[in-house]
Amino acid sequence: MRQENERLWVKVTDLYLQLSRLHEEAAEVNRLRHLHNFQPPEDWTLEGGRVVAARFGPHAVVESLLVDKGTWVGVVENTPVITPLGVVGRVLRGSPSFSNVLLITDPNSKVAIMGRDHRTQGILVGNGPQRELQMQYVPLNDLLQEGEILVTSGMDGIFPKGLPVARVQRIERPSTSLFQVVEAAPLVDLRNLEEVFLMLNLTQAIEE
Amino acid sequence: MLSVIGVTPIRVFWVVFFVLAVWLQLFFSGTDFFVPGIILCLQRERFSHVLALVLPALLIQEGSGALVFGAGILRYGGLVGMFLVGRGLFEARSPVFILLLAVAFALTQMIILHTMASLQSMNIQGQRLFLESLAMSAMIILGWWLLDAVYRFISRHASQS
Repeated sequence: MRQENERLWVKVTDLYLQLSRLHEEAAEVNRLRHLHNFQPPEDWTLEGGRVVAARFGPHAVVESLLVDKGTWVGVVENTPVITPLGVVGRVLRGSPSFSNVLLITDPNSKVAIMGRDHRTQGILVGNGPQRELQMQYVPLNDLLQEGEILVTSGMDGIFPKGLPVARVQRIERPSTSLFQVVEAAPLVDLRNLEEVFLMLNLTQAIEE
Repeated sequence: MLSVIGVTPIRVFWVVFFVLAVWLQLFFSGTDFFVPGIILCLQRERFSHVLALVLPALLIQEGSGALVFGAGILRYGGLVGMFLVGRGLFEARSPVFILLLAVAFALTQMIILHTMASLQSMNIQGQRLFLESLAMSAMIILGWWLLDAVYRFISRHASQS
């Protein structure tokens, strides 16, 4: 009876582990299916990559991710990195099989953007981890509303036009400035990323 | 049998340390877990062994970071330089020496990273860099103490057997 009990306990533990592994695999299948359905803009192709680490080592002085795709698959400096939900950042440094991605939340990141509804343009600048992004150079009279989605304008020559980046959280119109103070939250949860897309520019590749 | 083919307990210790150092860096951003091992290696091993540890560590740190090549050479070069100079002034295995070395290295690292980032026109968060350097000096002291204890345990048992 005791031996049978012990044998059953071992089996239950084994089944628990199997169940946990299958849950993990099912979640991964869902994520990958979602990624598979995403279509890139014209003249761009997507290369899927896995996030290996975030701010790895003492030299990672900026908000960054390490992705397992590099120059061997055509990644170059400033390659846009996205998920189906929105922009993640751009490649800062590439090695043959890994890329260092600068996140949009880093103060060194600047993305040319515009409001999806009112088409008001500006520059989206990071303010550090877990802090709101700031949309700069929006004149006081330009239209923009809280909750509006900000998309890339393509004016920076890095990101293609129309990729969602952030949602406007707060707008302030100070009387002492020429510009509005606009705060926005990234659409992608940058702390829990597992897979990303690296966007390769086909036109640029053909020209080279 | 294993020692005949070159697998000694000390070599296993260094391989395990290397793997652990890489693994721990995944969870603690901005921290260099190789440093306590390099200090221990400088204290206990030949210089060729130090090089064998520093070179792969250097390649990992340089390859995975956001800074251009060179910061790692300056950091590890600074560590070895400070150790060699400090050894002439203090007893190399004393905890006081390790404490001073850890603080001096954290300060040097802060200056090097800040300078290298400025040369690349990068803005870095000074407060975070300071806090991470502070945490790293504490980690160096704790890490060295742990590694030294394990190293002594392994070498004592290896010599007995």
